[in-house]
Amino acid sequence: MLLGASLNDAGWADDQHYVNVLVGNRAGTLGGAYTALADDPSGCYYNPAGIAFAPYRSFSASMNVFQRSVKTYEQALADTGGNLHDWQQESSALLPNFFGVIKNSGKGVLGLSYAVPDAINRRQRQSFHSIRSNLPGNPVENFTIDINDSDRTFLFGPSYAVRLKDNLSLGGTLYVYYRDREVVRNQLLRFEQGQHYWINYYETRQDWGLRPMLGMIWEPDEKWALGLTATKTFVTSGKLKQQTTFRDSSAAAPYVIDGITYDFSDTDTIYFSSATSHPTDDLPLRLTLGASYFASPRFLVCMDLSFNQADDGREATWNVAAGAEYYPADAIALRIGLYSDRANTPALSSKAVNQQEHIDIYGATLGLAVFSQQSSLSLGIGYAKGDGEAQIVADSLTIQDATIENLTIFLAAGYSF
Amino acid sequence: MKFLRWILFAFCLVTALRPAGAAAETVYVHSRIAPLMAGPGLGYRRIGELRLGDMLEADRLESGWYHVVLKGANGWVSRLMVKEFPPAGAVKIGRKDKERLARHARIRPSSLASTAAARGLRAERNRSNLRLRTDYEALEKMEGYRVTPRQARSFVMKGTQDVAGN
Amino acid sequence: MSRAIKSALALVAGLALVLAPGGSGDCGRRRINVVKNRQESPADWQTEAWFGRKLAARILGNIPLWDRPAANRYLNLVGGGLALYAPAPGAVFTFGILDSEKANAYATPGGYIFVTRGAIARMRNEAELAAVLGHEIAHVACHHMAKSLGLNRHQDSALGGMAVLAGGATGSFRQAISQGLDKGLEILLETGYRREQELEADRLGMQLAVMAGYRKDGLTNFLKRIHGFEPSASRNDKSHPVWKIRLRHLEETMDELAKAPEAGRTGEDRFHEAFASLFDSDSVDAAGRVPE
Repeated sequence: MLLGASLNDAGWADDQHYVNVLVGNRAGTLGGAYTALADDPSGCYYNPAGIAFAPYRSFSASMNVFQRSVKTYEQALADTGGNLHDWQQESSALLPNFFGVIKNSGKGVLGLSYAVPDAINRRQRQSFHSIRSNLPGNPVENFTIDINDSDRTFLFGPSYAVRLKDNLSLGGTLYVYYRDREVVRNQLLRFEQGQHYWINYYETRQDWGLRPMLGMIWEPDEKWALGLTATKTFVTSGKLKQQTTFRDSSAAAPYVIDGITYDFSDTDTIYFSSATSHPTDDLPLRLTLGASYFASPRFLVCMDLSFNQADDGREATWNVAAGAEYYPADAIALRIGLYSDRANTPALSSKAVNQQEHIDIYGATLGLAVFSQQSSLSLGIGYAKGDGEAQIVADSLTIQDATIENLTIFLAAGYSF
Repeated sequence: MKFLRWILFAFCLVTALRPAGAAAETVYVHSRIAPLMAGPGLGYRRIGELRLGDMLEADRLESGWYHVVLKGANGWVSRLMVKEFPPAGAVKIGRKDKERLARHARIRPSSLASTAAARGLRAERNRSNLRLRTDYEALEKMEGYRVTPRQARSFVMKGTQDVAGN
Repeated sequence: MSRAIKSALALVAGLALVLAPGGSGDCGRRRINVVKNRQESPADWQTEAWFGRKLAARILGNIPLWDRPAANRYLNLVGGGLALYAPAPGAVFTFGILDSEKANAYATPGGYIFVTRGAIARMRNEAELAAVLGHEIAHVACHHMAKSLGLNRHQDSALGGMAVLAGGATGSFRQAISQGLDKGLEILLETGYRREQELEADRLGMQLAVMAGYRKDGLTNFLKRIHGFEPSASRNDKSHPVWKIRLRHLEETMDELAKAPEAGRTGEDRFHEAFASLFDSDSVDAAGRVPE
């Protein structure tokens, strides 16, 4: 590529992290450390074995989430005056994030739930002036970038759990997995000497699959519970459509990328390409081990350790979450949580180009729940921050510092009957 | 390693958050009388008597008995006699309750009716109808033999004295 | 999945299945909001009393009351004395003797307790009577029937939250009540309570009797005698679980009460005085049977 500022393909959907949205009300405000608890409808998502321990015969819960995320690539571009400019992408999403209902059925407990474990609406609208380019004596007079991505994952399906013994339960969830992604990227560069470079990229992707989860909860005694889950997402059908429209009048001579010759000697030339493919990439196996300690009916602490297996393109990833819940009054619960959301990408090397970004995120959550006889209402807030590195410019060895800041507000309701 | 530091930090925070004395629980006496024993069992000396509704701070549970503190005194009470919530009043359908009944009755009959209907209740049972017989006259007679707690109490005391007297 | 992970999973699952001791349940898991929410309201006790009274009338419709004022009065004094110790603040206990030769005892929600003439005839003293009454009182205190039938507010059943509905009796509601009564009668006379409920009632019942000053072996003595008289009782009469399991459990409970005084009263004199007509020497045969 001739130009100094073209986006690296990597990193436009958040595939590098496993904990993008904390699902469920109590679970979410406990930092997601819910594998050993899981005794409400969000157990269908965290550990289906837990719903067998739910205190009510039927229970429904729903949650709405507002999430705002800002990702900054520091000093990504330099202008002719030597000033460095950041790239900044924002995402905000307001969405119903979870709905679940559980009910005694036969010997066990049946659950049905809907969850959105990943939702991104990424926007970037930035203009830069007098940016250095690799055309000698011909800087970029105006560089405009426009990004509009949305990427959501939906899970929907049944769960069933049975108590094998008073203190031991087994459960399973079979989620239908659906991911819907749309990527729109538009970049226009106008050079001081009049040439321009314009690329428009449009992509849609729909994946359908199944995500089975098996879980177990064992309470060795009254004060302790241990939970274990295994889950894997199998993508059974995928459809990826990509369209690119490209024009570059800055090139002095035709050039070749991936076997295609780009020749703009005729000033009216525009390259248009369109492709449809059917990728089916399964997601790696995840194992989670959780423990919770019920110090008293008013106080508990919980902790989860999760492991995501390595596969091609992803590294084995460990995450940890811890939470505590305290009832200062009988009908009020305070919850805090801490969690890690580490990148599944390798650390960046100074010798390679077009590497995926690597940002480890750490977050904290705080929640308040108020109970009345049969219902509960909770409000939660989460903040997460990540520091890492990225290589935002294509074919460049330069590595930028990258940060992510996420703010999440939860509003949830539960009803037992 | 930064990651490990985070785990450590999480643990410390969580531990620090644990409120002091969280293990002590408030429990309430749910029987008219509950003996307060000198130790965790009925074989110990009976050092007092707790009454319905007494609020106790339980700090220890040992073989089915709570160690409790009440008005400065302490002793052991059977776990079976206490619960974590205050006792409901004895059954007296007073005016207030009637009002409450009426209010709820307005709210829910329809939902109940539909629940029952949806469940496909068997309209007729082919079981012999013998079981459907009721005898309210006998029931009222039986209710006439009821004794008051005071009478029961003195009966128990008398029995104890009789034994002591033998 | 790598082989190591697979074997680790299998190991953990296997260990948990083998090692997990039963019984601890999920008491520790319950949070205070749930615990408090579980609290009995006067309305719950009202529901049970209202339902229990109807059920009691049905029992009396099938088995007549043995209407001897002195004997019934005495029964109420013994039972009332035990009820003082019962964790059932909303119950009003009423005791009655049923005119049946079969040895049995029943309790309906809210506090109606029946014991048959046949059962009393097989008892030796007040301590045994107290043990049987204590067991039935415990069923009431533990809401066993209410739980089985779903009378509680939170239970998802046609009868759930009946207290709130006592006023709005629609046709299908009446039908639901009638079915509930059928089911209740079925539990009492045929299917019996669940085994763990029986064992729970044994444990609490024994404690009530000992607290009221009786010897702790009343129920074991009585059960052993009943078993001696009716070896087939455990097969035909399902209102109590296999007597051997109960006996073993009762003996464990007695051991737990080990520190309880071996002493305690038997109240033989009062007992025989109150039930004199049952124990007239010429009306009881050698095996203790009361003639038809």
